Amino acid sequence: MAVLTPRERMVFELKHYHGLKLRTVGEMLNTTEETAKNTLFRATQKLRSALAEMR
Amino acid sequence: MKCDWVRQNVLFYVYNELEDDARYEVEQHLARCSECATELKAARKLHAALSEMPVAEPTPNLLAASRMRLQEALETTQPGGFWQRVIFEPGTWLRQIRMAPALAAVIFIVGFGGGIGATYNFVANRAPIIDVVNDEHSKTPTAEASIAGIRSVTQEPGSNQVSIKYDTVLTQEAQGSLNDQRIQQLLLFAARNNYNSGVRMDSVDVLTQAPNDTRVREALMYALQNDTNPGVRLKALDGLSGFVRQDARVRDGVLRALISDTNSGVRMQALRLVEPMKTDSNVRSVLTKLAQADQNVSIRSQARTMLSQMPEMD
Repeated sequence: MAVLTPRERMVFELKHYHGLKLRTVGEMLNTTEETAKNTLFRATQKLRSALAEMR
Repeated sequence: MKCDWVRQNVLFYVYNELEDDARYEVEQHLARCSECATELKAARKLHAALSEMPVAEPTPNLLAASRMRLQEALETTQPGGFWQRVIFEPGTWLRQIRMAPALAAVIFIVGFGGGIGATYNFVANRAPIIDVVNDEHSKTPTAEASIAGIRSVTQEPGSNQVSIKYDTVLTQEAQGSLNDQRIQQLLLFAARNNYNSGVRMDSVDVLTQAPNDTRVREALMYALQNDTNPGVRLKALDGLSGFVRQDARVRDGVLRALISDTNSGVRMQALRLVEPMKTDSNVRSVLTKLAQADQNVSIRSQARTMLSQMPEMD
């Protein structure tokens, strides 16, 4: 999780652990659904490469 | 190209964030393309691995302190009025895209009203206005109704008299029995076109009392397929319930809702409606599909139960 920016982490946690819709996440963070979608995509890409390095 | 698109969307597929059309596209492509199917596997694996990671929970002290700070902040904040919200937070209400048609209509009417107001003020400084419709009491037309549009503006040659033809929007009220043709027309219009889902709900509710009329049934079918509000769709489904057996189009509509409606409550109700028809081959194939793939556990199990109660067919 340390590889993520605070915003990426927030979007990822709200989506992954709290199961919120990206539209709701966007509204909560005062941004658009599209931006939340891009942020989630970036966050998972980073987590994926971080996990791959750990193994 | 297709693979690129699918790979970009496979994550949102796993998170159940794709529209129905995109979801279908992805599923179709995954069935054909082994590389993208591997990508899906990897995405699912990552999803599972991340789910196993421990999530840091806030300490009870931090939670309590945050709640107290929120409470204090709420107590010291003055509630903002409507205009304050409109002026200071235009982004918030502009983002509510569902308001867009209503907003467009308001801007349109206000724009024309403002234009006409300005024209009248300008003309009024030079000559009295003669309102052809209300010429015995020459008050401005905006006092009577909102102006929807201007048909024509003509000036008599050689004088300063201007004549303007305009359309107005007037709120009117109609009362009558459900059998009244005018009332029926208004209800059918409201069920399809009103931007206020509460009004659509009321109209569909009243229309369900006369489902024998083919136009009413059409309107209910339309609401079931197209209304954005699940409550309205559920009401339409109630209205159609008596016709599942006798009207094949109604049955097809209900089956469509059963497969593709995004709301599980609507799907559940549709399932109840088709239960007496479960030996029909179309119903049977939909039930098989539901038993395997519906997102809702109880719908899956209900469909399975219904299938198991059926005699086997070759």
